[in-house]
This record gives sequence, C-alpha cells and structure tokens, in this order.
Amino acid sequence: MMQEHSGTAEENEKERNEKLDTIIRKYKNAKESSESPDTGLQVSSYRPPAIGYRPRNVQSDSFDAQNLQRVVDEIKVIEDGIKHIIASRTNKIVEEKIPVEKERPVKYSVVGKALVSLGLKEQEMETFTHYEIVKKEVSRKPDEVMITEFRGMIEKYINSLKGLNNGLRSTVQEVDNIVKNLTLVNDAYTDQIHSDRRAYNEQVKHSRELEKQLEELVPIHEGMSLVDDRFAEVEKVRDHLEMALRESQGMEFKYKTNIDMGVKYQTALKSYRKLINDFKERGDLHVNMVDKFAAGAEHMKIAVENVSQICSGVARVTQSMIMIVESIEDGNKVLGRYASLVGDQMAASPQWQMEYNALKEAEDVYRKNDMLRLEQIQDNRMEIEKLLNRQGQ
Amino acid sequence: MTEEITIENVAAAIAEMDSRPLAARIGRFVKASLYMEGLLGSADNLPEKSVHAYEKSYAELMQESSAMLSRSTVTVSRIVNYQFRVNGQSKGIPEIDRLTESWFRKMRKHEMELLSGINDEIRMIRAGIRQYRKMQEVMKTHSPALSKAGNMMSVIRERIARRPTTLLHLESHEEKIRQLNQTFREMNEYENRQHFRLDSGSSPACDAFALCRELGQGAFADISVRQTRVTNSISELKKGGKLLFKLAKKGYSPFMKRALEELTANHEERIRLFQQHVMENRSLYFLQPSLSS
Repeated sequence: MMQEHSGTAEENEKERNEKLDTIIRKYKNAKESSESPDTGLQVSSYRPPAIGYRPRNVQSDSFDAQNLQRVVDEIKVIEDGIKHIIASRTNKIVEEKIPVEKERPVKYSVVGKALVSLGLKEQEMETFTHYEIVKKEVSRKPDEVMITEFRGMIEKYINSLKGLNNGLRSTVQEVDNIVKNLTLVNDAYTDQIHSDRRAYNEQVKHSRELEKQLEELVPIHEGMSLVDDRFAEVEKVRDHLEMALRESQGMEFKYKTNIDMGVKYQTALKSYRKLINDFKERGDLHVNMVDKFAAGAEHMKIAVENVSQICSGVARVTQSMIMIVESIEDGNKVLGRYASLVGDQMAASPQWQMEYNALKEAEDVYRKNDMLRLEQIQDNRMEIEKLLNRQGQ
Repeated sequence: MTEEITIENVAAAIAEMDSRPLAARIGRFVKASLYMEGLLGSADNLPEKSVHAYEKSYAELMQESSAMLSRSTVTVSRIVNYQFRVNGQSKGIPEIDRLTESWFRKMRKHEMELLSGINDEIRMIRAGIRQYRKMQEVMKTHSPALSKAGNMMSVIRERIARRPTTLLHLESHEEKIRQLNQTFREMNEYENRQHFRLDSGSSPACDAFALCRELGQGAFADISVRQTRVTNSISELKKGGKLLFKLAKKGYSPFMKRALEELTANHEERIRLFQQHVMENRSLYFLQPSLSS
C-alpha cells in the first residue's frame, strides 16, 4: 500500500519535473534569443514563441485503498463493540427541569402591608410555578460514547483489581501465618497430651502400689485386737495409706480429665486449621485469578491502544493522500498559470514582468511546500510502517 | 512446735469453706467470655473495655479458686493434726466411748475425702478455664486477620460480580482479538465456578468462630457440672463438720445416728462412683482389666 502510494507520488513528481523542465528550457531559450546583454529592461521586449499551449490532464495512478478499507472496517467493528460495552456499563447524568407548584404570600403595596401588619387584612397566598433541577441517571446510547472512555474504564478496573489484590495478598499471607501458628499450637497440644498420658500411667502405677499395700494391711488391721500394742500404729498407717490412695486416684482423675480435654481441643484445633487452610487456599486462588484478570484487562488496554494507533495511522495515510492531491493541485496551478501566460502571449507587456515575478514566487512557494509535504509524507510513512510492524508482532 | 489444734479451729476452717464466691466468679467469667466470643470476627479491634472486664473476671476467678484451694488445704491439715482424745467428753460408758471414737474416725475420713474431692474439682475447673482461655487467646489473635481476609474476599466477590468484562466479546478473527476473547472466556469460566456461589453465603472466618463458640459451650457445661459438685460437697462437708464438732465435744448420742448414717451412706455411694470411674479410666488405657471381666 505504501509502496504504491509513494510510487504514485514519485511518478507524479517526475512527471511534474519533466513538465517544468520543458517549460523552463523553452523559457530560457526564448530569453536567450531575445535578451540584449546590457538592459535588463529589455526583458519586456520578450515574446514567447507562438506555440499554443495545450494543457494536459495531470493524473495520478488510481490509489489502491482496499487494504486501508479493511483496516478501517475492522477498527469500526472493534470500536462499535467497545462502545456498546461502555454504553451498557455507564450512565449519564441528565439535568431536568421539573415544574413544581408552590405557594408564597402575596406581595402588597405599602398600604396593604400596613393593613396586614395591623391585622385588619388577612395575608393571602398565591400559587406559582417553580422549576426544580433534578439530576437523573439515564442509560446511554453507543453513539454517545467516546472510545477513549474505555481506556479510562479499563484503567480504573485494573487499578482497583491491583489494589484489591495487594490487600488480598497480604491478608492471605497473614492467614498463612495463622495456619503456621496453628500448627505450632497443635504440636503443643500433642506434647501436652503425651506428657499427660505418661503422668497418668505413672500415677496409676503409684495408685496400684498403694492399693496392693492396703490389700495386705487391711486384713491385718481388721484382725487386730483393740488392745494390741501396735493397733494405733497400724491404724495410723492405714489412714495414711488410704488418704494417699485417695490423693493418687484424684491425680489420676485429673490427668485423665486433662487428656480428654486436650484431645477435644486438639480435634477442634485440627478442624479449625483445616478450615483456615481451605480459606487460605481459596485466597491464593483469588489472588492468582485476579492477577489473571488484571493481565486480561491489560491486554484489553493494549488492544484499545492499538485501535487508537490504527486510527491515527489511518489519519496519517489520509493526510498523506490529501497532501499529494494538494501538491498535484498546486503544481497544476503553477502550470496553469504558465500555460495561460504563454497562451496569452503577453510577454511583451509590462504586465509580464509582474506576472513573471509572481509566478516565480508561486513556483518557489510550491517547491518549498512540496519539500515540506515530501518530508511530512515521509514521516507519515515511517509512522505507519512502525505501527504496522508493531501490529504484526 | 505450734500450738495444739483444737476442734474449734477445725470447725472454723470448715465454716470458712464457701462455694458461693466461686460460683459468682465463674458466672461473671462465663458472661464476659461469651460477650468476647460474640465480638470475635465482627470487629477489627476488640473494645478495650470488654477486654479489660474479661481479664479482670479471669484474674478474680483464678484468685478465688486458688484461695479456695488453700482454704481446703488448711482445713485438711487441721483435721489431720487434730488430736482426738476420748477423755474430754467421756460419759464413762465404754460402749458409747467406742462408738464416739469410731464415728469420729469415720467422719474425719469423710471430711478429708470430701475435701480431697473438692480440691480435685477446683483444680479441674481451673485447668478447664485455662485451656479454654488458651483457645480463645488463639482465636483472639487470629480474629483481626481472619475477619479482614473474610471482608477482602467478599469485596472481591462483589467487584467481580460488577465486572466490566463479562459482556466482552469482540468480533474478529485477528490473532490479538482471538487471544483477548480467550482471556474473557477464562475469566467468565472462573467467575461462574461453584465455590464463588457457595462462598457468598457463609464466610470461613465465621465458621472458625462458631467452632470456638462450640468449644466454649462444652467447656462451660463441664465447668458448671463441676461447680455444682463443689457446692454439694461443701454443704455435705459442713453437715459433717457439725457432727464432727459434736462428737469431739459431747461424744456420740443416739440422736446423731440418723444423720451420721445418712451422710456416710451418701459418701459411700460417692466413693463407689469415684472408684468405678477411676477403674473405667484405667481400663480405657488398658492399665486395668475391664470391669466386666
């Protein structure tokens, strides 16, 4: 597309240059033949050869705009899609004037006021129409939507997602710490339960020893006579042993209760940890997904940027085309002026000098413009090629 | 050697045993804890006032229970160290004297065993409360992070529900557009997944706190059973204490017979249950052959 385009421009230029060369050669020949060496004024005596000028139609090759059209069509489709989305997702606020009936006291003249203040006349009310401005949210039509809004929308969305995700990530981290802490607490419970179990076993052993001693002692004590010398002693020992056994059994009981309690708490702790762990994993999932969302939205932003870049590319192509056409027109204008000058054969008149100078100037302007245009077109072409390359990546 | 302990000392020590302050402290602690539990998960920071009330009730409960423990220890030591002599209240009838002595022995044992039981129960109440507090402490430290995470998740869910991406689908076969559409589809699939819907109702944080609440209820039920036992034991202890005092002062009289027999019968039943419990526990850990065998 670009090759064709620039090709056309080059051809045009070549053609134009050729034409200009011919004209200028003719002009120089004529000048040389008529010019006297010392008087510049003698220019006025110049008459161009009586050759009739036949203006040719300046034509450029037809520009193949099909590719351009395809790009434009695609952009339109994307734009329309995005506009629909924006329109469906946003509301516009419309201010509406709504008439409201209100009452106010009637204004009286000085006399009237005096009468009212004296209470001789009743203050009357009058109704009037007041307008209130009400803000209303109305759904929008795709036509009203600017494509650039989408970029803002997406950016806002990405930012909010990213912000949320940062928060979520840190809370997930905290929850993770909780899980770790719970593991520690759980280990502590395990240790405690184990030590309680050991203590319980020891205590039972101790109790059973006491039980055995008592088993031996009780029959002896019960068989003893009250007047036996050792009766008091044995009785005391029995009392002590019985109390010690009671104590020991009480300890057993306490250890057992502790074990039961520990097991109960540990079970609860385990299900709590599982719960928190699930929660944490879900949080992880959220974080990852939101990251993906943000990436997806980033894609969209890039796509929209591409769309706008394509748009600007199209604008540049159009500008180049317009410039080429302008350039051709300018060239034609200059040529036309020459042609008419030549055709009118008015070189001898003083008018000629003026016309000639004007022409010279016009030609300069044209050349200057042409250079600028060429530069601009060159720039445009580079820009477009850059866009296309990026597009193709 | 300190002064000899009199029966008045013993009676005074027994009279000092009172279950009401402990019951009141337990009640206050339970109330404060339940209030705290209610706050878990609802606020980022627990209000200082209720934290203070909770801590105060805990400290008071621990103080009172340890005071009770030391009171019961004092009582036990007085009973043990009291030297019973028949001479003081002897009626000169050897049979009555013998009955006085044997009943005194029985009542002394009764009192000591009751005190031992009370001691055990109070220790277990303390252990239960410490345990519960440990759990609540864990919950309390987790509460802000958990509720924050819960809120965060619900906000994300809401945002996603209001997502501007759902309807996105672009018409083109160009590669970039196809990639974009694929991303949109993935997002939709994820968002429509089941757990998003399930999550919206309950928060895992709430479930966690509910778990804590359940534990608390269990612990408090257990504590209240033990507390009743302490109260009953103390009233029996006092009845026994009065009889002990009479026996030591005036000796046995047939009028005391019924009360004495009732108390000892109660006590024997209690001892039987206790022994049974101890044996059951042992057999549970294979430390004792099963009772049925």
